[in-house]
Amino acid sequence: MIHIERLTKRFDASHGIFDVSLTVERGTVFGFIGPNGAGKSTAIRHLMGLLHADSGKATIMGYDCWRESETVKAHVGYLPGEINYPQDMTGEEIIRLTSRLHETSLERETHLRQIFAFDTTLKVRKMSKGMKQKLAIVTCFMKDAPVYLLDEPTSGLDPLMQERLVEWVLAEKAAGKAILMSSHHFPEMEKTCDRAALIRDGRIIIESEMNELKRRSVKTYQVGLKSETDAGLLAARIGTRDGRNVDVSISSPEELNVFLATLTQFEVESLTSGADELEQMFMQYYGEAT
Amino acid sequence: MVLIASLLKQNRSWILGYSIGTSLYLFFLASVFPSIKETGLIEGKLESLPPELLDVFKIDPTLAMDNVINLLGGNYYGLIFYVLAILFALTFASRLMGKPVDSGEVMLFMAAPISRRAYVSASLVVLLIATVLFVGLNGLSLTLADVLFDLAIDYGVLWTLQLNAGLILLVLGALAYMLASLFDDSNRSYMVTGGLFALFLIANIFSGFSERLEWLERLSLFSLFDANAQVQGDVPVLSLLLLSGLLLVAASACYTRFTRKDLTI
Repeated sequence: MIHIERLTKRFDASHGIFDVSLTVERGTVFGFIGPNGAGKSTAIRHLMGLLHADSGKATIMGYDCWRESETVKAHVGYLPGEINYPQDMTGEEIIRLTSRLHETSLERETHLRQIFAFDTTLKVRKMSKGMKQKLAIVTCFMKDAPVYLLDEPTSGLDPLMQERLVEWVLAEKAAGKAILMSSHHFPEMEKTCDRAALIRDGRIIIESEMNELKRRSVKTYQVGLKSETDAGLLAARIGTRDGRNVDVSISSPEELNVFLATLTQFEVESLTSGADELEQMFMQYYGEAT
Repeated sequence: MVLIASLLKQNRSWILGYSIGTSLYLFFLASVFPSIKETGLIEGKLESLPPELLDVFKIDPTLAMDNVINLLGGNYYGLIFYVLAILFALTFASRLMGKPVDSGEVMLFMAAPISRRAYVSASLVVLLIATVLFVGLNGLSLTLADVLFDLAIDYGVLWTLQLNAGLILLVLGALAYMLASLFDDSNRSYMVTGGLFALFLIANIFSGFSERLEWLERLSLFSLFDANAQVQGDVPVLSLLLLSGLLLVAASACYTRFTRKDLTI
């Protein structure tokens, strides 16, 4: 449904996207992850026909995103990374205008208004970031499109709304939609994505099935022990000591089993898992990028 | 149609501002004209001004101020109109191209199944409507004043002036729109376009300083709108044809530029 092949757009020697390729199939969510300025939005703008590539191609449902952008946009629901609606329009006016500009569903609109409720009588200039984000979500999904491009969709939303959006995205996926989603929010990526790619400096450096990424990712645990002596002994075998705590990194099921077997030999007071698995892995790459 | 209606709704305040504001000014001037004429103040005032200043403001001192159109030829349809036309064109280009692209507001339309050609077409239709309202209401306000105060206005001259003025507004508007689409920064496009139009104005003013500088007038787009010549019976066929040609070129350039533009919104 969404296909990018060796797409290159050079803004200057070091900025742009270079040789980016990805495919999003029907009924799947593809996660696009990367630090700020890595090229996520640039790639999405090519799909929306806003940018013309230097080389390579981007297609949606077989239509060229630059030459046939009008047709492409008829099949796409788009949630931009930065919400910039005309400041003097109210939420209601924007929803009404969207319903006239796009082929939308009244049933979906009503449902979305209930889930992502906000005061639609307010002008955009008076809205908080979260309200603008809800407005963008409503206008994006009130169109029953086969393809959705979501650029940081949970930005500015409170945890309850984030959870509702995740549920909505999962329902769209189950309905056979193809969704490309860029985000910094790892838990939602873990819950929704089937595949993910990390982009850095305009180049995709990892692309894999989500399960495979999880399997390869490093998991961290913190073990609280009864005495510093025990902590020292455990740290000598499997991790690093910080007072009576020991931090342990596990990267395979074999290591996990060794870790659990080792723990049985100590008097453990607490066991907590560290940062989210994927987050842990991607933060390594983020760190290298900055 | 949805796009045009939406753009019109978003831009109605400045469109009405220009057309109603200038029309009220013209109506006011026309309504007080009979009493000014009786006092002979205009002739006296013109005689007291240095000829260079009259040249700068394109006022012909030999022209009898016995008709309101003659007065407006040197008053409103001179420097005042040129400045208004520049501001009108800059406002149009800024509101429909510069700012929406710079702020990202244009995404509301670019995310919809609307081609860029359609957006340019809708913008130019808005320009046409704004221009028709501007010169149309100007003409109607003078017509109304004529009906109320019996000003003996020559309607042939009046509406030729409006046509010429309308074409100037359209050409400047299309040119400003095209220039605005060259930049992503609305302030920069505002400065470049404003600078170019100011040069037109300066060339026009300086051309009146001496005969040796008359050639400067040819550099200015405003040389294609000589209200004094029209008041004296000149029919500006060549100016109207040239302006129509320029409008075609400027509008084509708007399409060419915007359909190829990278939008980082």
